[in-house]
Amino acid sequence: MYQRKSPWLLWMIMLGIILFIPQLSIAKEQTQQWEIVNPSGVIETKYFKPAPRLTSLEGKTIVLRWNEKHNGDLFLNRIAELLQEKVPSAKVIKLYEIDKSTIKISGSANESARIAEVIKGLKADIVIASQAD
Amino acid sequence: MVDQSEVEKRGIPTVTMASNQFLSLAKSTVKSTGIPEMAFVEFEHPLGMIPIEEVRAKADKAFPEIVRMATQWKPTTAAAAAAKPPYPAERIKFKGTYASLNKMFYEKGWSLGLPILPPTTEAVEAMLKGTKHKPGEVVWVVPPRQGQLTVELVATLGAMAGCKPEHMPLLLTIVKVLKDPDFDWRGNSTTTAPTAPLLVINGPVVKELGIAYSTGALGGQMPVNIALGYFINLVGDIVGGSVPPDSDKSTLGSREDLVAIVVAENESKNPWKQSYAVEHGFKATDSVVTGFGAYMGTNNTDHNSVKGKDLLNTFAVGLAGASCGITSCFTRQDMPSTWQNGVKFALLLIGPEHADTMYRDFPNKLDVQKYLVKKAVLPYSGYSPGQCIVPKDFGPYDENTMFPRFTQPEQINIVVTGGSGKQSQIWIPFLTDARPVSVVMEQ
Repeated sequence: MYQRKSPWLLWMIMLGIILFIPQLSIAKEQTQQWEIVNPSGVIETKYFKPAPRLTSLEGKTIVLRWNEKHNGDLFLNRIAELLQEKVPSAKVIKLYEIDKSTIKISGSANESARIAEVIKGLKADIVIASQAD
Repeated sequence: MVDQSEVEKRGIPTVTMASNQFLSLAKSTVKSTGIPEMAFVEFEHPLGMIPIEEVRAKADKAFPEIVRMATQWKPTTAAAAAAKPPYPAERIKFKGTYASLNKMFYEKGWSLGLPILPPTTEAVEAMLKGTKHKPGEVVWVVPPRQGQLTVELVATLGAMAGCKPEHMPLLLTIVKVLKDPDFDWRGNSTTTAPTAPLLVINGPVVKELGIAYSTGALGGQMPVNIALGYFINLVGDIVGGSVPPDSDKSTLGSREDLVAIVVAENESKNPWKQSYAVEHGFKATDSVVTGFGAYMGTNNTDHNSVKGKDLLNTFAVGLAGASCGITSCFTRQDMPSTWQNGVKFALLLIGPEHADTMYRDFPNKLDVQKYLVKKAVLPYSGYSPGQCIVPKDFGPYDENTMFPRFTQPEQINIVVTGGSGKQSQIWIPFLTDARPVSVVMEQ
């Protein structure tokens, strides 16, 4: 009888060890109090009013601006046709045909300002622009 | 969109067409310029790469809305919210584990999804000891979100990336490179292309800080390079807000969006002796950071060329074809970036063994550049329609006629880096990047 009980006891001890060892190996991460710095940065607040709006396109100078993204010029060409058909008193200027230096994604604040000055020089009443993509 | 914003600021109203996939980026860009609202007409994406009949149909459909927005739309926002000071940054108390802190950071948009080191007040204060700059100094307003990056936040994001206090002067120099208008950060960080910063470091700082320049320099196990590269993308995503899908429109993205490439030149293995920085007018004692926004690079794995010319011939193939579809022929470094003068320079990271092979036949680096300019050619059909404008006096040509990508040797930038092996890399800039931007580190 003694000889038959001994393996049983050994198996129980080994089972206990097997179950206990993983608990030891997974160290529980400690909860702690952190004081951290918010890394997001405050958004720069500037405020510019949008330009005064028009109530009609009749007799206005409408500048069409293309940023060189594919097919944007074709889109604006069709808009020009529709404007001439529906609002014949309007003067439609395709900026991309009269000043090729403006056909671009400006890429810098200085260049954006330059393009805006070109448009201002045309005495535009409104700009219709094609963006992307 | 910045262009239309500038027009509005001059008192001229605008109406902008934007596809539904890009409307959110267009609106956030406008907001970042200080104008809270502008008139948009949305159409179904895409507009590019579709037949003209479909373009005209989209214009027909959009036209009534264009007229309505031009004559009836009115902004609703009355005034700007009161400005908060950028310094000091908010301190937050958080109780939890390291894992839960990382989860909180990710959920707030304060990480890229990779683990960060917690920017505790102690860690940030320690970082700030590495610079004489005042912590409240705003060093960059980062597009597209227009977050104000203070010196304190450089320290904070540096700590999160694993940088050390002694890295602070270099981090501030890196910021100067990124914010340079010629880098076009806004374009790089919001484009559909998988662009990411690539920075090369020259000078004494390389050895002082242990910046990697030999075997595997662009890979893992390079803690300083990785920390610096991680810092860059933390700045871009957290302070700059260039996060997919609304602001970072990268179609597929790239792993460089996680950890930007930062590598030093292996100056002692440069057979031409002059480092990249010295070649570009800096002193050997200057620590210089040079960077640009790069499309994904390509590799040259030439094991067989014994002659320099043979090796350069295989380089020329990769150079001509890299970033295919957006490149132009006859590009010039001294002309503005446009779609007809697109992707107008390249950076070759040349392994020392490849450099030695080139040097045998080209002891003058300028001759390497000239040879590559001559040999980097594509057939006319290899350029996307409309992007290769052939000079009027060129004579007859057809789709098989070969046209050069470059025209000036200074368009080919050469840096010797890496360890043993027959490997080099070719990196190409984003369409609008004007030039590689170099800045000397403050002592």
